[in-house]
Amino acid sequence: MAAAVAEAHRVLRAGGLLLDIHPTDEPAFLQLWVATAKDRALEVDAANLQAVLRTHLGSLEHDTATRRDFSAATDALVDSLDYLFDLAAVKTFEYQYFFDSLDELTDYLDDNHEHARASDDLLERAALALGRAPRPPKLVIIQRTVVSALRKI
Amino acid sequence: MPLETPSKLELAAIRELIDFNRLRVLEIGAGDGRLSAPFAAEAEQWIAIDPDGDEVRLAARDLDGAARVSLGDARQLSFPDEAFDLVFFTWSLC
Repeated sequence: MAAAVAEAHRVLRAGGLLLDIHPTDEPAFLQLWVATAKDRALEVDAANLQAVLRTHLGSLEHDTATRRDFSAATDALVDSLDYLFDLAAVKTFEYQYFFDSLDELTDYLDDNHEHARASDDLLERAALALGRAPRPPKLVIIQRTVVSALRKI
Repeated sequence: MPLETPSKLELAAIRELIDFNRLRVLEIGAGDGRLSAPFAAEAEQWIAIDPDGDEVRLAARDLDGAARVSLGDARQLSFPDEAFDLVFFTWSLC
């Protein structure tokens, strides 16, 4: 990673920007989203994401190596500060993956098990929450992600 | 499944930090061009590299000339010094 950052520095003009986007090392977590009763929309969709009730269900389990890679990416950028780059800006946001059912969620996790897994307890909580939802719900995996801009010194 | 791909929040976060207008951009780890497509047309030049040949073929097909796409290794770039205004690691530094 340090080699990649050094190469980026080499090909950038003076004052140029390195922009990086990668997940934080916090575990991704699972929520149940339901449209609010006062909102006229009955389902969670792209148009009404500001009007949802969010219920936190728990965190996913990540491979240690994956978490370590996320941390190492951050470390590589931090290590380059002061002698290769100055920090220009940082912003954190939620990367959201939406699922209509527990089957859809588990199929996705089966296909992406190298990134994250759900414990049996978490899946049980999700099943209970889905069953109690007053309106059509979405299961949402949320991965906090950070985008950083570094300016070449 | 994602409601929107790429994530609307992701695009908003990137746009809040960077205006790609008239920049010479090197995107590293472009994959299938998921994050090249929304921005490449704004830049003066957009070169997208990835170490995976299958992904490079997908990106070249989908971007349809909006960006130059090629195989490349972030640790040993085949570009001259100071060739770019911006280098963009898209989920690829980790």
